[in-house]
Amino acid sequence: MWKTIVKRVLILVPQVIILSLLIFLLANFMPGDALTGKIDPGVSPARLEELRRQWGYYDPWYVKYGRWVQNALQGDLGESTAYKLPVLQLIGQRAGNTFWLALMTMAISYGIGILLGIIAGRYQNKPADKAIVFYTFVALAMPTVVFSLINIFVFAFKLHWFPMGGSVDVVYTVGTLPYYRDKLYHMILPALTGGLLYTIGTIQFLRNEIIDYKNSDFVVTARSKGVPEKKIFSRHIFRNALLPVASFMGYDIAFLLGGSIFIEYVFSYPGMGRLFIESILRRDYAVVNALIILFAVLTVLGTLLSDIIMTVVDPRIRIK
Amino acid sequence: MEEEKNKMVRKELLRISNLVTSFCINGHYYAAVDGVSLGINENEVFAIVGESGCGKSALALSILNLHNKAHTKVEGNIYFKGKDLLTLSTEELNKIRGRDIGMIFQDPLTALNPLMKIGAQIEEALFYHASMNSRSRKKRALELLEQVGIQNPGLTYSQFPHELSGGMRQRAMIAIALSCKPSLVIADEPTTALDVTIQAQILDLLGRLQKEIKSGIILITHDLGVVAEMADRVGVMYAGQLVEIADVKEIFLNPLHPYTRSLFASMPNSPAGGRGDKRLPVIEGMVPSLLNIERQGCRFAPRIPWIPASYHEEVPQYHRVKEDHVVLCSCYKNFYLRKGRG
Amino acid sequence: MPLLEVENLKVYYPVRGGILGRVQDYVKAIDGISFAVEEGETLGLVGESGSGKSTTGKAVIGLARITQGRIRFQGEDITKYVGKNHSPYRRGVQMIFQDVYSSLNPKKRVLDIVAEPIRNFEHLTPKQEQKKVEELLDIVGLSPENALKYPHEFSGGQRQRIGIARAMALKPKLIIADEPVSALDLSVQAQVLNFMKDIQQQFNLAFLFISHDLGVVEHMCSNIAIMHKGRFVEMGSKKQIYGQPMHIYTRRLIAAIPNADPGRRKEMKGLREGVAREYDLKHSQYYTKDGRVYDLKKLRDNHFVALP
Repeated sequence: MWKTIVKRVLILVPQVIILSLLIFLLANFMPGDALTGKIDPGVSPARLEELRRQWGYYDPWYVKYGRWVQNALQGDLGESTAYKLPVLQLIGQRAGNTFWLALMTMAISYGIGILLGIIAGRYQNKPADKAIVFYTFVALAMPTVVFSLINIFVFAFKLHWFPMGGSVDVVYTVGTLPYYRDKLYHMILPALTGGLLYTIGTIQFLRNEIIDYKNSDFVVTARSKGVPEKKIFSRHIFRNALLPVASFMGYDIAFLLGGSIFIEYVFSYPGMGRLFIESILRRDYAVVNALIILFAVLTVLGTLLSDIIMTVVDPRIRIK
Repeated sequence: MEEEKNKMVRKELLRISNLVTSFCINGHYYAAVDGVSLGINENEVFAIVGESGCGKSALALSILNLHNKAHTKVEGNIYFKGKDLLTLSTEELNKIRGRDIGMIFQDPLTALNPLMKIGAQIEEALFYHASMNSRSRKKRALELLEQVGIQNPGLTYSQFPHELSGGMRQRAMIAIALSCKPSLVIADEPTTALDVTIQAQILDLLGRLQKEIKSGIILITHDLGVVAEMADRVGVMYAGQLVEIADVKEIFLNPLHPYTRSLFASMPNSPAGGRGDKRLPVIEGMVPSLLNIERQGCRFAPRIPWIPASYHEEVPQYHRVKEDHVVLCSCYKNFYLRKGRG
Repeated sequence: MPLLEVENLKVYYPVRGGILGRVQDYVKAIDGISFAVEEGETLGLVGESGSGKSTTGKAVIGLARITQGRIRFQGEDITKYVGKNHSPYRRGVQMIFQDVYSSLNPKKRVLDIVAEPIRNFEHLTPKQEQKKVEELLDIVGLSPENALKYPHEFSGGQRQRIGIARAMALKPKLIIADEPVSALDLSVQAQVLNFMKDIQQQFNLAFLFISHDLGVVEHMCSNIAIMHKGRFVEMGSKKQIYGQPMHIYTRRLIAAIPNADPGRRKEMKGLREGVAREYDLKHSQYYTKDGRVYDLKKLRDNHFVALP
């Protein structure tokens, strides 16, 4: 298994190189540059030209790429033109927010998904199952942005149960207990919004697996041994039905750690998803580059994580 | 003679009486087992033979009520140790399942839980039926694995089903079925998924263990060779009905029902069939599907059109030909095989 | 000159491993077998699962990559055609499969299924094509109106007939039948076996009959080869194989066939136990140190046994 992990991580290297080159080139050919957005009308065209030359704007692309790689290897991914901060530091700030939001979203999503999946699977075609299936259809059809706005309108604007957005109130001192409590408080509504939507995959998967396994051969064998129905469910049906759900967890983690662009944007939550979209709009290419590469790495690691989870939970699968 | 005597004193273990098992298809119930009555004696191997779709597996699952209840109806009576199994609640039935009646299935790969070690799957049956602590359960599981001829019980105990060969898996399955020394074992095509040499080993093993624990076996199979090797008595099924029941020697030497005769004759290299280069006598047509069974009169009549309708009974009755030989419908009296075309 | 001649055929599959995925070992699916099939003859290829019998059939028809060896058809070396679809060889050799449910495309009509090989090799007008398909269906005992139906409308036995009609479309000399009746019920199996014998006589067909069922093979084949671990352990006429099996593996295989005579049960069990004991005891005399089957030695006439 270790061999496979090493192999996968090694494959990551050429992937990142090719990806970074591609992004770098694309970014390079986009019209406008970081200066376009913040041109002070007072700055003379001659001064602009001088700045551009000074920052290497007219260098050929491979020189720029070489410079970028050299810096990147030293941990310098450039500086955000918008925030005047090193990219790494900027992403570091946002990554923490996204990480905790992702964790909470996952907990909600899997908690609800497993619970409702079990109910729907066990009581197939009963009213409870029908209600849950109806919910999955509605959630599937619901655009994330619309659902986020509805939740903000109802729970924050009308009922005042939760804040409208952001990640923490400015009044609290960093590091104090009220500060963390407020962070948690800000996270609940966006996490709930995401969790309620992302959970449908888990519900549907689990429901179908449970229904399939209910009359599978080995479950009939267990019945023929005289195992009580309750135990059959927990030992034979549920554990087997959980396998595909577990195998998707790795992808889900990667997906959520990338930051949900829509939810973070609508809730104006300072995470990586929002940073990504803002950086694109502001042509803050150093940040965009770094984020895309980060997302790619996360995706590959997510697949690897899924494979590892599979080998842990399913004895039939052994990666060599 | 000694054998004959033993037969006389044999006690009946299980009595199936007018069993009807129907499956729901598009809102209608169709009987896959249609009025089967049958007695199984202690310490005997009763083989139920027939081609696919004749209802033999549906019959096997009905005994312990293992069908999917959502779309199956099981009617009639199944008496076992003074109780009618079909009237018992699931909880009451669970006391009998695995303890008094064990089951062996066709495909040991799908019939074993892929996520549970073999040892745990054997112990599971012991857990609910025997008051043992975990140490003695493990000891018993290892014993059982040794009994079914597994070379290294300690290793197999902690292996998963996919790590075993087909024959080993079926041995483990047999260990599960026999773990509580049941008085009846239902074996549904136990060797169909195996190679011939493995099949021979498994059949010999089953025969040896049957003699040891003196249980009755209901052996469901389509393989007449397996019947000849294993069975004491044989019931032949066609279109949901038992068409003939007889002692094993009797049925091979003197098959009477037209279906039995045609079936035995179509076996390559059987005494009745074509040995060598001869053409095999065949039954034209095929086993009717569940929805197309002609439920009036003799169900085999459409496939032997050269036998005049007057030879069949309107409502086929069982005829006792000999003490241990029963045939359905009177058409057997005037039946002759016709060499089939193509 | 035999119709089909196979000489020292080997099919190896590489086993890859390590970080770079280099070839570390080979699975020897077929490890040097030679045989010949005469015109109009049936050669039975018998073995248990994993013996390499199916791979042999696939290799002969070009569905498995040959590692080494020669295959001659009507005297011509056809190894060069392997993998090429429209070779003249492909007209002379056809295949029928075990799984009658998945070997016919469910979305195609019987007409298209049976006409497919014809379309690959001949250019007929739709009318001519239809006529030809109807002729073929008649040969396999299906009425012409079946041409417009879909596979799911047929039973297992009828599907196997459709498969045979497709195989017969180009008037082949040799049909490779890979477990053609294993999925069928006894009575249907008898129908298909009879019918295969009929067309064999009618068209002077040769069969390479691959099966695990020794009863069926005995009924169908004049000559039989027994396969084990990718090699032949014994080859000879039906009489020799069933009457005087020489190799321990053949003996074990034949002893394992359930005997259809309940009166001989004890005798058969004794025989099986005897052979099993012999198999354990003398195993090393019949296999090399690393478990390989020896090369075939001629015993008499055309009876070959793998002995040291």
